[in-house]
Amino acid sequence: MFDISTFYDELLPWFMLFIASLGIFIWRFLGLILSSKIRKDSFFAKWINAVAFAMTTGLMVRIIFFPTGALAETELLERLIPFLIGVIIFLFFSRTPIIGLVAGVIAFSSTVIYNQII
Amino acid sequence: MKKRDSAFKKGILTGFGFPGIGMSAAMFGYGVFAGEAGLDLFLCLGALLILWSMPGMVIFVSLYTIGTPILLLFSTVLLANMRQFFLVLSGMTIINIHSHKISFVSKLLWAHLISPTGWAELTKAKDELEEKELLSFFKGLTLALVTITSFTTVLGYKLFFLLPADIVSIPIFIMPLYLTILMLRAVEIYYRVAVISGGIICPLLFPYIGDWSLIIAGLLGGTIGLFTSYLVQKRKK
Repeated sequence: MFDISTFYDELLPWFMLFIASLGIFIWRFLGLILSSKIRKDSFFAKWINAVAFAMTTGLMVRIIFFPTGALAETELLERLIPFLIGVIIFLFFSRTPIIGLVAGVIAFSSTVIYNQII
Repeated sequence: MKKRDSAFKKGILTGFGFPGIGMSAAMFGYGVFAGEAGLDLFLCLGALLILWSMPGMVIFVSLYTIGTPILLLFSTVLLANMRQFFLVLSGMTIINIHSHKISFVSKLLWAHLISPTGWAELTKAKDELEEKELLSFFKGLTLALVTITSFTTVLGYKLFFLLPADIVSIPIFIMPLYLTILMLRAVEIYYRVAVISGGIICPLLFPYIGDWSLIIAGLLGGTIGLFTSYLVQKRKK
């Protein structure tokens, strides 16, 4: 016999996911609609781009200072120093950004592996 | 047509390069997190593709697993994802999506697939490709990003109980460093000032106002950047 509670239990997570997706969809929909009203080279477009640049960097720096999940298992200085090493090396070799990235990742990995051994 | 094909290929190659590695490393962490929280694998993968936003996914997993009421789940995801508005607005303007003869549903799909990584690569590609090639580039980039992140999410989900958290943190570290470096590559002075301001303001405000710090850092940083550029230009004159 068809069991309504099992059906409900199976669908509930997907319904919750649908509700969560609406929270994001609203912003994307608004962004798409409003993008038709903006000229690419206008002052407003430049401002929107600058806001997106500032926001993305803010989010990335926030991950370093206030991480969640596995990154939160490491100490602040263990994340911050390699991050700064990567950024500073990039500023010296800005034509080859991969050098900064690799240096930062190596510095971070070394700290983590060192802590594992200790 | 050939140009568009090569832009598409360039997008795929870019996606499977460092941007893909950085983003998939973060998604690997998400897979671990979802596995740890006891989420079903299909739901974990479904959340990746349907939400396509790291904060949205993390909030969904965290709140769903503790049985949060629907309204709270919706409002938390809504407030934490306002940045999507700016990313989509900026990304769709860069692509000039409305100049392409595609259906509104297709436009919505591409707007949905804008991520900080995808958007950052678009800002870089706009200086290297013609405007009409950018959509093809973005399609290729997105295809690669969706493929590689789906794979690493499943990998993270399956491996969560095998790897120590410290080791898992190594790939996760790549994304913030990679995107910060990418942002610092901006040539225009207002973008550079915006990047530095946003990077300083957000962590300073976060302990006090939580996710709002991101919105305020963006609005303030972007405005400071443009204002600085205005002052510099005025001085030159």
